[in-house]
Amino acid sequence: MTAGHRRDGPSRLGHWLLRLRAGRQRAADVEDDLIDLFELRRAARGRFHAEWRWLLDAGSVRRRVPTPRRRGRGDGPVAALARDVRHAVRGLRGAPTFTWVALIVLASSIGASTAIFSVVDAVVLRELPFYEPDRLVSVGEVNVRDDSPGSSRRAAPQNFLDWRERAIVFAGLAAVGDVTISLKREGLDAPEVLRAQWVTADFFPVLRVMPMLGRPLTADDEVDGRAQVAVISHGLWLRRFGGARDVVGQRLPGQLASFEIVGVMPASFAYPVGERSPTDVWVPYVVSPESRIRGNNFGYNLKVIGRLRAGVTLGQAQADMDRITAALAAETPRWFEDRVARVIPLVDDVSRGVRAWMLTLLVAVGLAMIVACVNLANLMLVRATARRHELAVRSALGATRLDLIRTLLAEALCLSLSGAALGIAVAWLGVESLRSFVPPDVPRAALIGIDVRVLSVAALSGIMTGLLFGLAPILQLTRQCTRSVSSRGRGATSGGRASRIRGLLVVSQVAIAFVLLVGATLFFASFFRVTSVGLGFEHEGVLAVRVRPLVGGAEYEVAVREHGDRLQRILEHVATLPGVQAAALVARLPLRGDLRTVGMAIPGRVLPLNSDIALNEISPDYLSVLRIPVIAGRGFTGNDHEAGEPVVILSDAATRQYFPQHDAIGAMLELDVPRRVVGIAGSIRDEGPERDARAQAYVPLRQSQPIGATLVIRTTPGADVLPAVGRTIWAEFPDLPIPDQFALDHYYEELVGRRRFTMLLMGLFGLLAVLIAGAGIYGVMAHLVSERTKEIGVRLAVGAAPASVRRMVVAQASRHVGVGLLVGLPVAWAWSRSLTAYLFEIQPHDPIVYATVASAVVATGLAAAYVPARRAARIEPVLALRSE
Amino acid sequence: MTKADRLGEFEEWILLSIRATEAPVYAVSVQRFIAATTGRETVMGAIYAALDRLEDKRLIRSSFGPPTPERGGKRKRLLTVTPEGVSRLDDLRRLRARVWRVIEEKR
Repeated sequence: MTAGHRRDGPSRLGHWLLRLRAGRQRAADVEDDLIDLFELRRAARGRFHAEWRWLLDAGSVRRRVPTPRRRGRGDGPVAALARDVRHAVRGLRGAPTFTWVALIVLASSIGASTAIFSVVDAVVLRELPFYEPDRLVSVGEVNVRDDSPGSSRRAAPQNFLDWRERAIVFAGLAAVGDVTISLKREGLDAPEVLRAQWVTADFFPVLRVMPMLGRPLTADDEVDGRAQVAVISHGLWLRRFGGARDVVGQRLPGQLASFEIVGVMPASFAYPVGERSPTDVWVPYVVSPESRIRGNNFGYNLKVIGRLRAGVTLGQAQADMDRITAALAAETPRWFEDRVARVIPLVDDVSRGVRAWMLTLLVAVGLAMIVACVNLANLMLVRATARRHELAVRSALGATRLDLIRTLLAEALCLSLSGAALGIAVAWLGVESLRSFVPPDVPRAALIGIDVRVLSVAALSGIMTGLLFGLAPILQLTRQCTRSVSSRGRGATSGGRASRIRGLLVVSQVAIAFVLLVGATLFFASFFRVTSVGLGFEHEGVLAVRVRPLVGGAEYEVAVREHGDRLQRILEHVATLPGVQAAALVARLPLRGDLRTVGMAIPGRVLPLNSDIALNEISPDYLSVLRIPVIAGRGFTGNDHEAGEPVVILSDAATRQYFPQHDAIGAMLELDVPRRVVGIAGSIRDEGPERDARAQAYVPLRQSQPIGATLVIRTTPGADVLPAVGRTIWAEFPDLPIPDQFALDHYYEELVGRRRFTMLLMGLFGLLAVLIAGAGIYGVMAHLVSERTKEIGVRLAVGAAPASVRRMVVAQASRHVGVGLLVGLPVAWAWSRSLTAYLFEIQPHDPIVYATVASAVVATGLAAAYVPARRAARIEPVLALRSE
Repeated sequence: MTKADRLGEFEEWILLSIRATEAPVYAVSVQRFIAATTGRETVMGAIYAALDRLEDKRLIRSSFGPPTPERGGKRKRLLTVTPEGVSRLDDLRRLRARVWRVIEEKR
């Protein structure tokens, strides 16, 4: 074709289209035909029409596809795969019940395990987002008598100072303490409570992070009086300063002191990692003079983090800390009674309280997943057996064993991949709803979500499920098929081997379901028991409002002098508000883990070395607001003020511990000052239902120079007293931001939230497992009945009673269930022992739990077997025999 | 006759047009004939697909003709109806004629 020809010939677009759709060979064959037609049309109807038809024609020609009769076997792997997939989809659509059951089982199990994995991954498995995170450690003080995962690992400032000075294994050691900073009302900015942290100068270097603007804190800032500088978070910078570049040098208007902003952290920096309310401000930690000496005031309030020197192992670091502790203990033995320093990786510290718990959840969901897979294998086996005849015919017509395997595998993979896709959707929904159920104390909860890691786990588990559990039945089946075409008509069941495998699968499902359900029931029983423990006080219907202005060093004296009176005026006014039944002030609200323990002494008696007592300052009505009974003596009155005799009320637990002779009333105690015991109050479980009541001492708030306190208000049901309470507080403290205000119930919920979460999840998995196992039993028994139709027909024909047929089927099912229970029992026995730490007032081997679960499993199994059993009993003998 | 051997209406039209058109017949003449007699402009893709099917059913045969100067020496794929195709068309014609007779007798 010349260039001239092409100029007035048809467009290039058509040539291109033709080659694209028809392929090079076909295009060459037909191109000239189409050009002929183009010329004819141009002569008859003009260029425009001819060009239009040319494009239509060129686009319409396809590659030559041989008709099926002539199709050879070697069409190339892609075409073969497409054919297998088409075949599989057609096959699955032809068996909708099987397909739906399999998809639901797959989607729910993959969905559940993916959702749980996403939680565990974010909270426990993922590494910290800092440079060389494996060199970051947490150094904590641990009481060897209570080294549970929930115990505090905070260190006393005195110890931190000595560690920092003496340790040789750390490139840096930093202390972190929590504090809040209340911002004043300023211009349009409302008063605001900021979450802040005291940090020592090493904090940023240890984490290897630098401010994006300004400078980090330095050791020069850690001098009393020079401490009014702050580094702020990226979030606060945007929120309060609109992202202004000149923010360094501006002031942050704290309520009693303003801070000069010296730096702004980058957006990627959040500490603690993944917290829902991350820190806004970092201020220098100035060690107070009393925290430098080892006196009687034990305050464990610092978290200590460090970066190991390059090459130093965790073991070496621990050895170094042991050496230091031993030296310090020799100097001041009282400080190291039962206390040691422990070094653990920082990432473990972050997830310390929840790691074992999370891994337990992972095990549980893994078990549920196994049940699902086993069930799927079973379903595949049943389906493969049902297709035996079809496959045998194909094999007789020349399909090789490989062809059959490919067909069946394509079906298994189609199924498992669609299951995985559905599962991811389920997981996405699950994660969204799990997030709101995750108890507030779970670290890094903000990071929970579906990401690439999670997705790849889901996809992988789908493919693995398909391969593993599609393969076994396939291999077994194709071996049978290639052997004989005529195995269908011969009446009996599908070979002992297949039914043995199916029996085994059912048994394992029952066993695992039993194990999971035992776990779930133990958790449920624990939760029930925890929530029915009496706390010694009534938290329902009590509102807690924190009135605690931040006081800087300069204003401290003023605050000590004035705040007591201001608090008193607030209390008196609040008590008269409509809707308020009673109100009181307390220094430390129960259920917050906010304890102050002090050493105590009784004049004339020798007490054990570490005799301490939890001290709380209260106003006179506190005991009655929380309905804590006064057992002996009297409660406080308005006369117990600064000028009166220093008095104390002991809790019942304290008198039992320190005054076993019942001679507490009237005795003198050395606490902060010498005090006379005037009353005994009921013991309360200050730290929640799972901790025993501690020895407690209450002293009058007015005898303790409070700076702040928490208002506890018992309200009449339905009354909304908060606005009025807020106005009352602002009348005394105009700059106090909207205070934390919560029902006391909220804190109780925080304490039991984790149990509730665990119980819900475990219950869900247990239920899932039992339902899936039930479906498995149903499937297998139904299949068995349909295979034995003829035999059952014969039995009925020769006079067997339908009831005996029913019994026969149910008996077979109960054999499976029985063996499953026998297998599950020792596993559950061993597993529940590892749950002991999470159980509350119930033995891991509680016989009632085991009996209940066993009967539930048996009931489910029999119910699942009953439907096929009834069908078997209703078989028409004549029809069954004719079905040959 | 299996399902795959059955003759569709379009295929019948193509068989008829090959017979009705003066030789040498190739795909374009078939397309023009159908367009002229029915007024239907069929796309060439459909023509080729049907020709392929007819060839698979052995109702037509195709062979390359001599090179023609107007096509730059390229050859046309020429079409002829096989005896099998001819007898199939005759069968159809007889069948239709019988049915029409019945219809006319009813009038």
